Amino acid sequence: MKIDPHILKFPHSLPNDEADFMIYYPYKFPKVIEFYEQKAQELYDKPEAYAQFVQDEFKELEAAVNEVNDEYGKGNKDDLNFLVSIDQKFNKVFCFKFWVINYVFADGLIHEFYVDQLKAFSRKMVDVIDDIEEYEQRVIQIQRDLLQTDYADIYLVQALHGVVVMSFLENDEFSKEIISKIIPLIDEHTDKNNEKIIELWKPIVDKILDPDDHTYDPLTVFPPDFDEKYETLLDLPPLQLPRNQVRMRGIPFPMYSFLSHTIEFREQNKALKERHDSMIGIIEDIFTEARGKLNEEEYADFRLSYEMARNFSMSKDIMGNVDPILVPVWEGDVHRRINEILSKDQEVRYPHVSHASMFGSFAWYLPPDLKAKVMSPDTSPFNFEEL
Amino acid sequence: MNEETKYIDITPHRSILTKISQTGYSIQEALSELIDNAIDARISETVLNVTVDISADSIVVTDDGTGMTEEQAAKSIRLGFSEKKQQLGEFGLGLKTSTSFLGHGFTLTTSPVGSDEEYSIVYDADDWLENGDWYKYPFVVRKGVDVEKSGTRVEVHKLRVHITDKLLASIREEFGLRFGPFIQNKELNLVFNGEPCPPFVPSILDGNKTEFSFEFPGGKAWGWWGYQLSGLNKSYYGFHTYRRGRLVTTYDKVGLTPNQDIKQIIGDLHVEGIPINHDKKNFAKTSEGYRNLEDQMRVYFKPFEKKPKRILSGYAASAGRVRGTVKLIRTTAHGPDIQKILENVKHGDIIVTEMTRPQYLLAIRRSAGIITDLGGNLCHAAIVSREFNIPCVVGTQNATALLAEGKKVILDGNEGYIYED
Repeated sequence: MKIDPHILKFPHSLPNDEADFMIYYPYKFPKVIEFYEQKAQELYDKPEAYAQFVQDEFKELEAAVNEVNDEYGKGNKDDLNFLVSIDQKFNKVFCFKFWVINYVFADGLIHEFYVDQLKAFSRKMVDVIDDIEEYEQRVIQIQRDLLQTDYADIYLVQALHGVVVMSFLENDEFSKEIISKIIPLIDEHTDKNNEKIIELWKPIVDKILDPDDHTYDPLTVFPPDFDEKYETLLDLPPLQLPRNQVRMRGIPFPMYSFLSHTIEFREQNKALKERHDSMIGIIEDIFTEARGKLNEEEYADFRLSYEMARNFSMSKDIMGNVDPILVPVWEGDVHRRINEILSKDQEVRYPHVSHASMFGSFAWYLPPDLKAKVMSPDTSPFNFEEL
Repeated sequence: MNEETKYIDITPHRSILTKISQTGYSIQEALSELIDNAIDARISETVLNVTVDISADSIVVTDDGTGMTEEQAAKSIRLGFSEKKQQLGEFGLGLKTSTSFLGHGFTLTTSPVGSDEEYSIVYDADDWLENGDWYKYPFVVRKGVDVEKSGTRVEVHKLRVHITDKLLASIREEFGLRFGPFIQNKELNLVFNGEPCPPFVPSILDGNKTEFSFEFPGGKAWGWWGYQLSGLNKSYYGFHTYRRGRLVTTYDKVGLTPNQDIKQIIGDLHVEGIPINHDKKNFAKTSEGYRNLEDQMRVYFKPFEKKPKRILSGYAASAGRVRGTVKLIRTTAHGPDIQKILENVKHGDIIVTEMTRPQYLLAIRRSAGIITDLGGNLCHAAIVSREFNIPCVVGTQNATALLAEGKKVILDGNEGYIYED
């Protein structure tokens, strides 16, 4: 596919870059520009290679985040020098291994280019009819389906798991009577019922969390007839995610919450499952039709545009998997401690609560040596060994 | 000057029976023709049962209506033959055109009310083209069938059309729409691939339906109308028109301004006194009666075509249109404050925020739509709204500044606009 060379250049702005990393990172880590442009040139028209690149980068990201996290766990958390050094390491990892994929690729010019291509091809897919509005709406429908894709991200998979859980609870001897009492209470949508709802859920939650009780095994291990496509997407049985959260937080609340929301959104979840199930067929139909309507070159370009746009969407989901460390540790603990130390003898104005806090807020209040360190360019490329 | 009158043979060529399939049908329309025929043959004061079964090899439409007499059955394959008067199937083409469009052949089996006879005709296009004889067509009469049972079965085989799962869903929807009034009135029980076909019920804003009736030179019209929010497809507004209680057109824009905007007029329009076209799909628009109807409708509905004021625009991230109450979520809120704000989002509210965050998820699921100041095609709000199938407009720049808490708005995720409700 022909592409204007300027599209492969490092972008000047990003629409979703709410932490304004575009203002800091190209100056702080100038090698990121070269890294991006080299990968863009190499991978812009190779969907499989790009998907592999994302996987590889995620592995490095995960390993690097864990490494910095381990180092943080061992260090002196009252030492400002140490805290700033940890922040800078998190920033470098985040910049090269997260920001490039999650923002620069996914929100940048290449993705925009492929979305524009998809929109243009969608017009060729619809037969021109007298009713212009009808024509435009058919085009919108195809564009919508292509942007939605047949991929289920973590949010949707949780909704799809909700369908499995609901169906099981409604049919299981132990839970069905309890469920019949909980449903009307949840459907009233009032906080007043919360206590009663939790009381009713308790015997079910106790059984789910009891490792010696196997009543809910079909929801905590993969049931034999479980649809493989959900299994491979999230790689977790339906109740595993809230079970993990219960373990991490040490309280059973996430399980109560998940079960209650499974009831609250049961109808929407069913509709989402139907829609998701049909998406695979819808996308297939679009491309089957495209074979008849486009010439070989156009078809290949159409397919490439879809695959690349889908890749960019999927990569956002994959990279978000490190949030359980980045959010509470870096954004939470590290920055809270830095803020507390800096606030002891001065007023820190507008303290950001984001990964960008150091550049966007704290840098102004650091002692001169640390300020110089933070605000000087780091001209080395990313190297896991030298973190 | 001499003049002589000669008599020439104008027997149609055999291929005419195959060529009539080239009528520009859609699959839904062709199937509807067969159901139209079944409805024409309904027994008064009795619920008509019609089943439609579609498989990869055949399409079977069965009804328990009056069935056809021997003469009617024998003539059913003749072009242009119809005994029906004052009914929709007046032109004697529906069976032949629809079955020829759908497949290369069909078998018609019918048994009239109160008879122990059953008549059967088999048509195969390839065989007809090679051996067909206009004057000698095989017609089977079976005696000794159940007197209590009547009805007609049409089986189309050697299908010309490929029906995907997506199309099956679309056919069911179209049936619900086209035959909905009959189903709702409990005149028709339509079973599609083993499941009852639900009637389409339009969603009217606030449930406000206004009845109207008027006479015009040449006829009279009556019905109801209300507002709906235009859906994914802008063209789905206007009137379902009926003649003699039968649906003629759907989403007819008679008398309405083209490009009617967000709040769209929808309703039922019953018309008497205007003839319909031979394909039963429309009124005779060139007739004086129709022009008079159109004039009257224009005068009546002009004052009701309201275009809400557009107040904001952004990037249309997820399609669909909704109305709701603005719930502001400021990203500067934290801790217990944000929890309280998120819990305050009720079903049907519209979230307005600088940028959504993962912890807004439950509020998003309860909301009817999302409007953000920032973001593009792959921002969190855009992705999640597409996943959860709710409309979303992102990158408006100043929604949080312009839209006050509690304001009623219409969110248009198709075009990326926000309107005052």
